[in-house]
Formats: sequence, C-alpha cells, structure tokens
Amino acid sequence: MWHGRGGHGSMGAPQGGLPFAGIPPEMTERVEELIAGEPDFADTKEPFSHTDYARERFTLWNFLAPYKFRMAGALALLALTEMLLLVGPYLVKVAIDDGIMPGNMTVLYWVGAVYLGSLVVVMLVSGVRMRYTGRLGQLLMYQLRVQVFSHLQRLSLDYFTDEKAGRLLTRMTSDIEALANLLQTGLINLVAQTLKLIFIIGLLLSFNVELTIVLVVATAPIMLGMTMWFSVVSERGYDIVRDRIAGVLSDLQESLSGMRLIISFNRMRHNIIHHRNIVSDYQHANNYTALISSFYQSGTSLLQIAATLFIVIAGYFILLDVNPTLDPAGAFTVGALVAFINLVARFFAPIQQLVTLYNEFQSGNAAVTKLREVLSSEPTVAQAANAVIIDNMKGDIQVDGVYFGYDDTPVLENVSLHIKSGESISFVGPTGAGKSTLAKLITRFYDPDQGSIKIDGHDLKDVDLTSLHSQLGVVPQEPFLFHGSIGDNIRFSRPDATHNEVMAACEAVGIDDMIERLPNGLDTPCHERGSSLSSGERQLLALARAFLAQPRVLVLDEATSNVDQKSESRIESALDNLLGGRTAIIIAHRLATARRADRIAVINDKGILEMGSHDELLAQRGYYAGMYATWEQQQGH
Amino acid sequence: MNAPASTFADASTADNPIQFEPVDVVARFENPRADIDRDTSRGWLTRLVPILLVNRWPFVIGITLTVVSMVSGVAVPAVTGKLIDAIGPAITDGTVAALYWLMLILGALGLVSFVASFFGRYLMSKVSNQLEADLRSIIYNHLVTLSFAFYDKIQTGQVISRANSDIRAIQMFLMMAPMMLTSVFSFVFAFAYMLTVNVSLTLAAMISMPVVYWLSMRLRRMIFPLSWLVQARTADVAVVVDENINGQRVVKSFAQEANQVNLLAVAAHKLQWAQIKSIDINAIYSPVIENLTAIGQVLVWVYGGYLVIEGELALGSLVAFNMYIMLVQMPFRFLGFLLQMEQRARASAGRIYEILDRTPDIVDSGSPTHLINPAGLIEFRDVHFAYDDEPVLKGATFTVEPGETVAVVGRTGSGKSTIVRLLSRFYEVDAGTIHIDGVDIRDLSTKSLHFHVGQVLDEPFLFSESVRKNIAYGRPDASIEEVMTAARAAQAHDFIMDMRDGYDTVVGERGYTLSGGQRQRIGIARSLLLNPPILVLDDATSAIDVNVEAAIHESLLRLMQDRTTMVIAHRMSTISLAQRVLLLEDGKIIATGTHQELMANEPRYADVLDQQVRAHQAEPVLENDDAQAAEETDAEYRARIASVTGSAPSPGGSGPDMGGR
Repeated sequence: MWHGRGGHGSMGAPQGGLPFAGIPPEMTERVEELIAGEPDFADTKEPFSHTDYARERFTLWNFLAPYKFRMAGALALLALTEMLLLVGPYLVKVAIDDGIMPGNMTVLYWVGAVYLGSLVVVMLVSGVRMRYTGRLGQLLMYQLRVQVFSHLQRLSLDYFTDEKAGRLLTRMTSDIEALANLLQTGLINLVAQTLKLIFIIGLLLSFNVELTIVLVVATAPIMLGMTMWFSVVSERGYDIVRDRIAGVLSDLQESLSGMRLIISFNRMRHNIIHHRNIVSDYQHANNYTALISSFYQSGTSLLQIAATLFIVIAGYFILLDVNPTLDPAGAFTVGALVAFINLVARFFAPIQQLVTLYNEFQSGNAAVTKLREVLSSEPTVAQAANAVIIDNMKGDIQVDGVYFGYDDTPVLENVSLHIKSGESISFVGPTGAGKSTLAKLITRFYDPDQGSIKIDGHDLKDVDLTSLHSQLGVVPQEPFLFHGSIGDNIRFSRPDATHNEVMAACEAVGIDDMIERLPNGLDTPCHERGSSLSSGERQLLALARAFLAQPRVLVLDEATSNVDQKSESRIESALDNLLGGRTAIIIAHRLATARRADRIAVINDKGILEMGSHDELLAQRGYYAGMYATWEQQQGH
Repeated sequence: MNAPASTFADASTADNPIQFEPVDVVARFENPRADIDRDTSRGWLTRLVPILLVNRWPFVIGITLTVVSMVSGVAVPAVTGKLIDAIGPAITDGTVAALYWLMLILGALGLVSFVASFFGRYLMSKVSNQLEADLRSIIYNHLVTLSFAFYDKIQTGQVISRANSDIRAIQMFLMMAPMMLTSVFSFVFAFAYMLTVNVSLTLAAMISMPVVYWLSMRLRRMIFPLSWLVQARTADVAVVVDENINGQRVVKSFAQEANQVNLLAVAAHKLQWAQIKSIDINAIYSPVIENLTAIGQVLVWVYGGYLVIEGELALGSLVAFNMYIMLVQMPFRFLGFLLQMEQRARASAGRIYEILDRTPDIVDSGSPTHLINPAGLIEFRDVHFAYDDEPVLKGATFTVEPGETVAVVGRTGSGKSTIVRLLSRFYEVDAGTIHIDGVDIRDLSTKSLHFHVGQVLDEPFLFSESVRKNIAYGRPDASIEEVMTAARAAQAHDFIMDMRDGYDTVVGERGYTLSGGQRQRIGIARSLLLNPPILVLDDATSAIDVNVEAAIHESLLRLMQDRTTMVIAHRMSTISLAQRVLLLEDGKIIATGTHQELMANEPRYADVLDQQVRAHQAEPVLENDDAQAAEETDAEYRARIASVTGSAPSPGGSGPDMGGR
C-alpha cells in the first residue's frame, strides 16, 4: 500500500552502522533556507568510459602530484601563520626586559603596536589559509569520489558480492574521508607542526640553552609517551564503543521490525533483558573511554604545572648562576623566564598534535592501500578495445557449447541454445540448477568459461557494453528501487523520458490508476528502498521501468514469483504488454507464467534437460510433464 | 493425542506450571533503578530528575571534585605569578623561604587539581553514561508494551533516530552542562582575583569579551544548520553509493553507468558546496575569535607594564593576570554553546517523551486468568472493529469447534487478517466479544493467550540470528531434534541443510538472504515448534513453490487434526485443507459450510473465489489474448472449480507426530 508520508524524505536515508537519522525538525527550517541557496549543479558532466581511464598505480604521490604547487602554497601559508603566532611570546620578553624593567614606555608602546599588528595579520592569514586549504581538500575529495565511483561502475557484477557490499561502501565513505582529512589538514599540519616545534625550540634556545635542554629532555618524552599511549588506548576504546552502539541500534531496529513476533511469542521479557545487557555493555565501553580520557586530560595539565615548576626551579638556579644582579640586559633574564613559562603550553601542543597527525597519516595511508585495491581491480567482463556498436538489435541469440562455474563449482556444462528474434522462452527447473546463471551469461553479466554466446551474429565479447545493455531489459526477482520518487525510479532506464512516456509505461503495466490516485502522483517518494510499497507494487514498478526502456531482449528473472495476491493478476496481464514482439527469457517458478512462452527449456543437472513447447513437453512425459501434473493437481483438487 | 480439557488458573494464586514467557538469557546487569517522572506537565529536565537522583552520590561528589579542580586550577597562575615575584628577592637578598613555600604550594596545587579533575571528570561521565543507558532501557521497555496499532503507524527509522541522536543530545547536555557551569566558578574566582589586582586593568582585559561572546554565538548559529546540511549531503552521497553497489545489476542491465556517475558527481558537488560554505564561515569567524583574547592581552601588557613601571603593580601579578585572561574568556565562548545544547536537548527530550507518554492500549485486566491447555473452542460474538475510522468488522459472529480446521475466505481488504489478529488480542475489539473455551479473551492474561494461539504471520520476519534460534524463537530451550522435526514438517529441513552452516547459518537482514518462500517455511516451523492448540495460518504459504507447498500441506493436514486451526488463503489448494469455510463479506460472516456446500448453494462464494483464485489458474496462452479466448478459459476454469466439488481434503495420513501436549 502507498503511504503518503510527509516529512523530510529528500534529506538522505539512514545508513548502516551509525545511521544519520535525518535533520531534527527544529533545524529543518534553517537548513531549508540554506538549501534554497544551493546550486543544483545541473550542468555537471563527468565523462565515463568502460575502457578509457587512468590506469596508473594509485599512490599518495601520484594522486597529489598534479596539486604539488597548491600544496606548497598551503604549506607556506600555514608556516607563516605559525611563525606569526610566536611573535607574541617573543614580544612579551622584549616588553619585560626592555620596557618594564628599565621603565621605558616607548618600547612598551612599540611592543603593543607590533603585537596588535601581528595579530591582525595572523587573523587575515589564517582566514585565507583556512579557505585555501579547505577548498583544496574539498576539490581533492570530490575528484577522488568520482574516480573511485566511476571505477566501481566499470567493475563487473561478480565484484559486487554481498559480503563485499559493506566494505565497498566504507571505501567510498570513511576511507575517502580519512584520506581527505590527511590531505586537507593532515599532511600540511604534519609539516607545519614540525616547523612550529622547531621554531619554538629555536626561540627557547635563544633565551637559554640549558633551560631548553632541561625542558626538552625532562618533559617532552613524558608528554610524547602519554599522548601515544592515549591515542592507542582511546582508539581501541572508541572502536569498542562504536561496535557496541551499532549493536544496540541494530538490536533496537530489529526489535522494532519484528515487534509483532515479539508480542505474539511473548518474548518481551527475554528481549528486555537482552537489550539491557547490550546497553550496559555499551555503557561500560563508554565508561572505559571516559576513564582514559579523564586520566589523559588531567594528566596533561598536571604535566604542564610540573613543567612550569621545573622551569621556575631550574630558571632560579640559572639566574643565580649567570645573572645574579638581575640585569635586564644579562645573559638570562626574568623576562626570558616569563616567556619560557608562557611557552610551555605552546611547546606541548605540537607534540600532542604530532601524535594525532601521525595516526591520521597512518589511517590515511591505510585508506590509500584499500582504495588502490579497488582502483587496480580489473573488470572480469571487459569491453574489447574496438567493440561493435549494435544499433538496432534484433535479439537473435545463439548459445554454443557454453561451460560456466562459480569458483570451482560447475553450474553449466556444454549448453547450446538458439533463441530466435522475437521468440519467448521460459527456463524452468529446480532452484540452483543454473537458470539465472544462463540468463546472466546471455546478458553478459558474466563471461562463459568456455564456448560462445552470439547476439545478432556478434560474439558478446566484441559488443560495446553500453549498446548491448541499453537494448536489454532485466527485471530481477527482488525489484530494486532507488532513493527518489516513483517517477525517478521508472525513468531510471531512460532518464530523458517525458512525463507522457512514463505514464504510458505505467499504463502498460496497469499501475497508472494507482499512481493517479496518489496526491503527488509520480513525485511520491519511495522511502527506504521502497518498503512502503507492497512487493507487488514494487515489482510492477520494475516492470514499468523495463517497459520504458523498450528493450529488444527482455529477461524476467523470477520477476513474478515473490508477489502478493493482489498484484499477481495485474503482473500477469502486464507481461502480455511487455513481451509483445520481443525476444524474451522468462525464468519462472509458477508454471502459469512459464507456459506463456513459445518454448520452455527445462534446466537441470548443469544443462538443458528438455526443450519444446508446452504441448510438446507434455507429450514427452518427462520432467516437465511431471512438474505440470503436480502443479495441476495442486490447483485443481 | 487428545487435547486435555481446558482448565483455567487464576494468575494471582495458581502455581502455574507453564512458563509462558521464554527467557533464554541471563541478566548481567540490573534494570534501571528509577523511571522518568510520568507527570507530563513537568519540564523536560524535571522529568529526568528521578533517574538522576538514583545516581545522586556520584553526581554530587563528581560536581564537588570538579569545582575543587577548577578552583585549584585557578590558583595556579596566581601562585606562578607570586613565584616569579619571589625569584628577584631570593636571588638579590637571599630570602629563599618564600620561594620554597610557593614551589611547594604550586606542586601541591598541581597534584590536588590532577586528582580532583581526574575523579571529577570520570564520575560525571559515568553518571551521564548511566543516565543514557537507563534512558535507552526505559524506552525499550516501554516499546515492548505497545501494541500492533502503534507499530502500524510508526516509522522504524524515526524511532531509531530518537534512540540514537536524541538520547545522545540529552546525554551530551547532561554531561557538559555541569562541567560548563563549574567553569563559571573559575570565572568568578579568576575575575575576583583580577579585580583585587587592579580594577581598570581588569576592564581593559575584559574589553574584547562581549565581542567574543557575540561572535561565538553568531558563528554557531550559522555553522549549526550547515553542519546538519553537510551530514545530510554526506548521507546522500552514501545513499547513491550504497544503491549502486546493491543495485549494480539494475544499473548495468539498463546501461546507466554514465548517468549514475553523473548523479554521484552532483551529490558530491552538493556536499562540496556545503563543506566549502562552512569552511568559509569558519575562516571569517574562527581566526577573529581565537585571537581576540590576545588583543586583551596586548592591552594588559601595555597598560599593566605602565602600572609596573609606576610601581603600582608587581611584575608577577601582571604575568598571572595574563594567564587569567584565558580562564575568564571560557564562559563567554561556551555560554552560547550551552544555551544551544539545552535547546537541542529539550527538543530531543520532547520527541522521546512522545514515545514514553503513549500508554499501552492493550493491558491485562486487574486479575486475569491464565489460559492453560485450552480445548480450542473459538467464538466471535458480534465483533465490531475499525482501524482508525475505517470500519472493517461490523458484527462478525461465528464459532470454531475444538479440533476443527476452518478457512476464512473473503475479498481483499474484507478483514480476514483482522479476524485472526483480534483472536490473539493484538488489537482490541470496538464492540462484541471473543471467547476461547467460553472465556472472554480480555479476562485472560495476554501472555497465556499468545502462548496458546500460534500465529504464522503473512510476512515472516527473521531475526539476524541462526536458523536454529529463529525456529526456536518461542521456545529457546528446544533441543536441536525438536527444531529439526518442526523444520521437516515445514519442509525447511532440506534447504537449511544445504546452507553453508546448516542450522547455525545466520539469516535475517544481516545474514544469509533467503527467498520469500524459504522465509515462510521457517516462519511455519517457528510456530509448529510451539505446538499450539490453536494455530493461525495467515496466507502463510503464498510465496512457496508448488511442489513444496503440497508437501507442507501434507504435514499440516496431519498436524491440524488435533488442534483448532484457522487458515487464511487465496489458493484453492490451501482452502481445500479446511473442513469448513467461513465466507467473510462486508464485515460479517455471511455464509459458512463446507467448500462443497458453499459452491453449491452460495453464489457469492464462487464470486469471491473467482476473484481470488483466478491468478493461479491456467492462463490463456500468449498468442490468444483476445477477449474471446479469455472468455473461454474463464468458462474452462469454472468447469474445473465445479469438478473440485467432488473431491474433499483427505484427512489422515500417518507419520511422526509433532508431539502432544
């Protein structure tokens, strides 16, 4: 049934793991205002080719090489900002030693003016730097997204196994994000923070060598060690937290979906206890990260106080030693000591940052490796270099001695079959016999291990993939609906179709009246992968989609087997409209559907067992006749 | 196997021998010790107070420690300043005692502040984590008390979002608010210190603070919706990717690769646009906010330097003063943030209370009786029922005898499923009564009712667990043999054994994908395992293969003999399982009798069957799809239906039993 669901359906769908649950209602108005100013990027045109793409090895260096000058520019801006920020502490020393101690107000005014000036420049330069590096990072990220996604589109169907699906999504989301973080801030910051640390140590050295050595040797290793410990332990802790919250949410999600079963099987108490257990596990994982971050945060401030104390003590003895008269022009001064104390916090910051950045660098590098895996995968069903474009496919299919197996399990052995242009053929047989596989070979989702398949006399391997697939229409068992409106989903097969053409397709499959009854008609969104539509309605949409494409060859892969009662008869009559004059391959469980075809091929035991028209096969009294008898008995009683 | 006479036990007194609620998990943690305040007129925070009060000691200690750490933190710059001032005299006059004391104090302050801040932070986080966990449990515990009517209307995604981001928003606020409020303490102390040092210098130092506050507020107000837009656009990109991975076959089969690349490019452009917009706003505000405090410091150095030269101020005080500027600016930067968090938390709490304030509409009566091993006599007496304002049943009256198998037949939307759902009291009748063994089901405990009425729902949901656990859902302690027996009866055993890990294969949303028919068979096995005296099959075999369905029917025929069974079906083959048919039309049972009787005497029955069953009958061959041919087959079909009248479902057949009660 259609549910006219309001709200903010256009704003993205929940995803696996930690879902983005949509914008909270109190925010929607402000976000809508923003969206009003958002360009629609309608003129975006990213080229796509099955064969023509950059094949160079994906490394950080290769990826960044075109942008090396921009990266250098960003680095220069960052180094400038960091240097300017150090002007302050130096000026403080000057103010004390040359202004306050000798009582010279002019120096103080100058110091103030220069300090203010440096602050204004810092504001300007950091503003420019943020814009510059931000834009660069976003540009790189955009390019990477398009590059990886385009390559995914090139890869063959066998690449998209169920187990890989989750990982592929991660490649396109968190891995690209990790890499982008590295590019946008990480790499530049890594250099900048190192520079900063060198500047600070240089400045400290200019104040006093011994004191600097004391600070660096006595405190830096502790800070470094603590931060490294923290980054390792907290990363592990947060991994557990993420895992557990994902567990909590998926348990909740499953409970909500299966609530009717929970109620009818009296599982409430069990589930309450179970949920409490996993919620508490999550709580304890949170407590653990709270424990270590409390320790780290308190520990670092303790370390800073300790370092200050240490410097005061050491500074006192150095003063006593080198400048007992406290001469402001002496080798070491009170001003220098104050500047030293002021710099302690700034000295620790880059150390902490460098550890974080090092981790960022590592995960960015890991992302590069994982993305390289994807980008270097070659499509198993590759398009030939000078592939033939078939303009007006007739749909004459010749299968010759085809062998095929998944991994080491043979599925088809020496299958030959000729489907004439305009003929409809049904594949029947037990589950797993290879019906779908044969259809997938004919539509070239896979290549046969041996033997050949020709369409209109051309070997499939020599045919341009786009020209082949644009003239084939496949309606799978589980109709896949994309995020968007009903109209978008039908138009999927031909995005340039007019409204009238779409409505004609709806009429052909008999859902025009249903769509007209919807308040938003074709613009009604299909939420959550179409879960608000009944399976029959989804199936009819998939049929409309195929009809709109006006394919020369139509493949129905159990397209009617999983459908509720109401839609069944409508689908059956929609098929009549769909098949008219086309080459059609129908894989069906229901013999009522199967026997509609001109010919029926019984597929069993890795090959074609029987083939012929319904009547012929009945006369043969073989496998099909047996199936039919059982079925008829069921129907009739 | 004969059904024992029905007995009823009083829930409050009887020592009930049957465990109605299967529990196969050990509680490792105690339940929330408190509930939220159920008084809806109270404020959002007030309503949380009971669950906060349970944790009052760690909370109070945590707050106290945080204040202690703040105060000792505030003292650090003052002591450091004094220390610097003490160095001069120590060197020139040799008065080192003050210096040593101050060093000792600084060290002690560091340690106190460390210990207090460590335990304070940890306790506060712990309390807020406890609150979060309790809130999650309270919501979950409430969700399982709500009935079908609630779940018909909600969107799962929205509840998940409430359980995710809304609880998070509250937890964040409850954790941050006390910490931020304690930072007001440090502000007060620091400000007081600054005032004692020099009033006009303090004013000079504070001069940029209102601007910091105003700019931070502005920045957040602009960034906040943008960060939501960025999240939404990120999700949009992920949706395109996800769909292209899972729907790759569709993309390829319509040669839409290039269009999809473009679609992704547009989504990525939009994300890029939102990101750059927020980068630009940050680039304008952040550097200013970050460096404004330093402007106060410049003023302090110049004016304070003048005061030191004039002898009105010690150098150490000036150094300390500068450190305090960093402390006093904190509340100005965070106060706006806190207000914003409160707004969000309040809105989130409102959405959570919306769920928690919904009262369960189906509850046991004050002293319900337990239904125990009923004979299975079902009576509907003038039952009326409407979904919202749409009446479905308008006075349905019928009886099903113990041990009888009855099929409910009616047009689509006539309320067949409603009847069987009312039987389990998944919904409450509007008028009339439903009786099992003569007792109004509203006087029974719902648990005992559910325990004895086995429902195989039309869309079998599988949990992401092993096949074995899915089948043993209603009786987790069932042995593997019992599970296998149920699976065999539902014709599921063979395909289960073919799966990689057999009965241990994980299925459901995050597991092995099963076909609709396979899911239905597991759903049937799940109910058969319970061996309920009353069994309801709601279109339970609609997606199952012809041959397999026949086999299931055979075992069902065997099993139905000893129990009361209600079947809803569209296929002739399924209807023929029943000894009697109830014809439902216009909200009433308009006829009842055997299939043959109804075929003979009730023209409306044939009409309904015609509408229902046609899709499954032989269809005209493709070439002859003109009207004439269709007419002919229709007639052929009628003839076949008529011929069915002769054959009755054959009861009996021997074989292993499902085990009796």
